[in-house]
Amino acid sequence: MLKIENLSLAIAASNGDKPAVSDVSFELVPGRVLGLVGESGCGKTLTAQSILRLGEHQGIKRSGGRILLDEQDIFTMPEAQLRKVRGGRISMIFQEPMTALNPVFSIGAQLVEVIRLHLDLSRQATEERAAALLADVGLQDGKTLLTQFPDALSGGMRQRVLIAMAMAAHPDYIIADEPTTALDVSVQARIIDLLRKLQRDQQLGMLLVTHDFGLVAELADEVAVMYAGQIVERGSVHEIFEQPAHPYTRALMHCRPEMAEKGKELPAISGQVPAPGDWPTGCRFAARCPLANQACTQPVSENAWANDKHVARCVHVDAITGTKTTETKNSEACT
Amino acid sequence: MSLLKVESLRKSFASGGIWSATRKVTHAVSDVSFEVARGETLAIVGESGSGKSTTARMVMRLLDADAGNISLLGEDVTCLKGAALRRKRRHMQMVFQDPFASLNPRMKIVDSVGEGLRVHAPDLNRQQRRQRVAEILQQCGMDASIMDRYPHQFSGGQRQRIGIARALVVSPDLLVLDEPVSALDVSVQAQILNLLKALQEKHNLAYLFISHDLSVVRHVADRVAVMFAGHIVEQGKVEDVYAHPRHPYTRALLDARPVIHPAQRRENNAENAVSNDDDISAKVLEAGEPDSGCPYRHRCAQAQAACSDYQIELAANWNNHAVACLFPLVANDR
Repeated sequence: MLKIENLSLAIAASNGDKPAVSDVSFELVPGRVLGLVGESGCGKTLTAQSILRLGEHQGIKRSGGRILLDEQDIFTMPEAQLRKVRGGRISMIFQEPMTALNPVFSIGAQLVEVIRLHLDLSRQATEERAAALLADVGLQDGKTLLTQFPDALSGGMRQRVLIAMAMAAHPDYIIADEPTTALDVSVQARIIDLLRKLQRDQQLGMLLVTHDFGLVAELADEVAVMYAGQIVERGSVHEIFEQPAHPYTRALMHCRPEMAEKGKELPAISGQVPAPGDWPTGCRFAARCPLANQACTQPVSENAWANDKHVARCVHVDAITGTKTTETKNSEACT
Repeated sequence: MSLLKVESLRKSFASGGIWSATRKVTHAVSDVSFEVARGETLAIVGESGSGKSTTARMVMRLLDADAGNISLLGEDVTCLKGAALRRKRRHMQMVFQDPFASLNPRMKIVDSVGEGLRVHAPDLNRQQRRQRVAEILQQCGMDASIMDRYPHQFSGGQRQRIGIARALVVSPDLLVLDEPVSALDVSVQAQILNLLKALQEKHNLAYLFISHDLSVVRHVADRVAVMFAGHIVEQGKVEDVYAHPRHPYTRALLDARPVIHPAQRRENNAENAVSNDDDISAKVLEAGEPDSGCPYRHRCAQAQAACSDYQIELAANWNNHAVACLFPLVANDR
């Protein structure tokens, strides 16, 4: 199990550290997809990258919490072991297929590099594995493709190559950061189908980082909504879509043009996400929330529904949904 | 009389050295025609490489067309140059996709936004110019007090508002919007779409709205033109095209949109997952001969032998819903 416990991250700045993510907890379970949703600047990518300790050279550091891979904290892992985890147990698919491949090496060289690093195979078996991986992601004629360079491939093909690389060492977990955002609509649909197939066939635990509720609706089993460095709501994908409770989740869902009646004014959320370091002590969404009142100036804990894993961080949830919730301990981790 | 009329526009680009054996000609836009009336929004929707941005740039005269005509307010602007073109530009302005790249980082907002006034309203003095800029910024939802700040102090959504103010300051009739909300978060996107709608009503503006996002297009546009490989393959009222797509490509695009609720999830389509014809459109574009049959036939489930001889032509039928296909889909009630 991959468990993120009360993770807090800070960005190093010349005038001291700025908090960027506070007290985030969730679990990745084999065979399940967790969608992490939010606008840019909410800390979702930082959270995802910190699972493989990728932001460290950019001054992102842990200020609290743990990330446990089979009971071992990734933050205290020796570098050699971490290298085995990256791309081995846990791999990552990035947003930009155009920049994630090295333009001066052939597809084959880049794919073989990953296989060599993680699997102990003969030269022949390595090449066969590379060609098989390409076939798995829907790239026919793998032998030719292995000799080609990234610039000969379209965006959709590059994203398939990156998915093949992520799958190379039979990972247990996969982190997909906006895997379809840079792609055309028709290609996007095929990549969604491919991710779903691979995830199911190999029972991967997937963290799907996205701003797009459409992608969440297609792939996720559970959803966590982030706002200004916090998870503000969490629940199963059906609960989140059927009964979104947090005003931010509701607003984010309703301001999509596909939800609106044509020509009608879209229910936009006024203002913008506060920058890291500018967070209020009370509810962080209060400045943009139509329901905000005096109660929202106090720190907000999470409220959970009875016998339910649906949790929202808002004092108004009972009034919004007409149901009864109980306060959970602020630090309790659950999915 | 329509405000903007575009007829049989063509543009091709050559790549590779002049004498090189690998020299290729890419037909980015082939025989594109459309009209935009005052107060109306025409959206051009298509995937990357479909030629939609090239079309927008030709309309703005940022690129010269190889062939065809562009007329604005009844006057042919296809070959205008110099001062005559600049005078005409008062009537058409452009808003770009990337609000971070489209403002000069070293110019104050007042100078960026007011730049058009120096050309198109040279009689205004400094004070009058500031006043006009303040007025237009307010209309775009920005406080006039930001005038003396620099672009880096603003978020993406605010910069896009400034970009729109910059285009509107000279009171144009037509705005060409090239993916104006694609770089923005969904909550900010909604703010900008609302703003564009309010401004259109207030000033009776015509919009040529370039986008790859079908949901945004459905929301903002009156009419839509679907582009594929440099051709408009379908054109009509948004309601007609979305409810009854007649070109197989339009249908495929609409079907490819992510669902809006998990209950509608397209359960695993394994065939889709491992079939890779992602790059067909790119190959078609490079094939070289623009008129040798329907460009979509390689990807089209309905394609027949006759499609390789089909001279693609947009044929109008009822209700000005036009389609360029030999075997158009029958209207249904999807």
